[in-house]
Amino acid sequence: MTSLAEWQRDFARALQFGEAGDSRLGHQPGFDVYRNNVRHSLIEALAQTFPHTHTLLGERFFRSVASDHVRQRLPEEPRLRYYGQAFAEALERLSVMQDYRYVVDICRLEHARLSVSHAADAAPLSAELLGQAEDPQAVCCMTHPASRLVEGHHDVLGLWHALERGEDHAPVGAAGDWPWLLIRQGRRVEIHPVNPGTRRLYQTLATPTPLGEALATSARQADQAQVSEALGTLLALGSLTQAQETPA
Amino acid sequence: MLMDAHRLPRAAQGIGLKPRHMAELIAERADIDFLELHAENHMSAGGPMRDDLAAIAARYPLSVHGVGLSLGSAEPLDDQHLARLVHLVDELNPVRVSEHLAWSRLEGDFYNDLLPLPLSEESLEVVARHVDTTQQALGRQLLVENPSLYMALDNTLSEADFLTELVRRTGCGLLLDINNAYISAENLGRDLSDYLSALPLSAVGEFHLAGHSLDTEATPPLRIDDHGSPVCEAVWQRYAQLTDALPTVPTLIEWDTHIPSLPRWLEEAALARRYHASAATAPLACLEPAS
Repeated sequence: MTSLAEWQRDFARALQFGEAGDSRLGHQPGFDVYRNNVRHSLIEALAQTFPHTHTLLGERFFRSVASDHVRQRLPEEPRLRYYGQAFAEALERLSVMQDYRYVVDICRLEHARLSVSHAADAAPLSAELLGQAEDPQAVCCMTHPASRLVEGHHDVLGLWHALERGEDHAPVGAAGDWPWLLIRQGRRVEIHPVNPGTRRLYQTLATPTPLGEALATSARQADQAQVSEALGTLLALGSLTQAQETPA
Repeated sequence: MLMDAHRLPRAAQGIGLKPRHMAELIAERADIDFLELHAENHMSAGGPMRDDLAAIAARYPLSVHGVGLSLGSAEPLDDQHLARLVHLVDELNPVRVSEHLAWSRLEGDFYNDLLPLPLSEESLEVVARHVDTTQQALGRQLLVENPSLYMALDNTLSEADFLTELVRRTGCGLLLDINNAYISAENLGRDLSDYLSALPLSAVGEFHLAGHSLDTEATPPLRIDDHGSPVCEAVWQRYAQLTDALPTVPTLIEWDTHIPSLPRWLEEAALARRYHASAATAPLACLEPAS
């Protein structure tokens, strides 16, 4: 008799959505219910995570690309809100999407928003708190857990806000390099366009770093005034937090 | 303040906790004895949904119903997921913690369904080991839910014998989903009365009731456990019989698709309360944690 592990591998192979192969299990009456449940529930999970992408692509095309994605990549864990991490990249690889790169930007923003919404709480580091430190340069800080940087290819903020209002279209802004910072404020996730200097400092602080060191790293690629402005922006947005320990 | 962890009113009635109803449930205390949440939906590090859950926990007893632990996987349990479950249970101090006789994880992939497993001495050892590990990690008893089945498997143990032995070996309780038992009996042509009478009913710590659909395009037609409609009459009748035998056990009305308004869902729970009227004079329902 087959061991449980072998039986489950056989069952999983037969679940590969429409490709019953030579598995005896996959041809049994009733098996399709499991196959459909897995496929349908994961497509639904993607539709819930990416409602604006769904609006832009339309029901039929969204379900088609979601179905392909589900076939190629299953979730790694049961918390389905983390499924779809690679969905934007999968969309971006489709040749048919080359003229619709702004949809990929919206898709990235949606996934980042969900991550930010469920990320850990932490007290933001304020300019006032930093000013009270004995040596502000030595304060070890890092990006706030409920914040994310998203790199966009088009200015889609107008479109994003239209989608948030329930509208299904709006003019797409210029193509280019558009970094956005997403930050949770109370119950809402806000999206702020940031300049390259602010992006650079934010990226430098992805891991706990003494502030002076992070500023010096950023200053190698910008003048002091720009670095100070970047720090002011990050502090004002509440996108930094004090790290507990200075790394060794 | 959190509710008492193990006590509920006699024949307590509960409904599922859904994001769309949270504000309503927080604003005004609904006439319901407990709320049941799907563990995986609430495993967040922080944020507003977590704040809402804390507000809910301060107002209602909760039960935690896991759908992703994969007790039936031949491979070891996912330690990280178990740790998240322990964290959630420690935080919420729920009245019940339950999971499924099913599997959903294999070699790094998560199949988002409660997949069936063939019942044998080998699978019994696997599930018993996983239930044991879970109960030790939780420091309390786990209820294991009977599955709804759509295909016959090569079992060498009957489901009732499997669950009886699982209870004996691990000290776990049972979550008896009457809708699942009905669906499996109809789909597999097994006798529901025989199945229910062979279960260790004294281990039942919670009932589940839900609606299901009928797929008439399947050959033969299949009953599908979609939790998307009111409880059907045949399931109510079985419920009435079972509550005569187990008058104090709490009941949860599930609804996961086509989710109704809160008042409509509460009506369904009120209906369950009427079926469960025999519980009026019964002693308090009380499940003790596993030692």
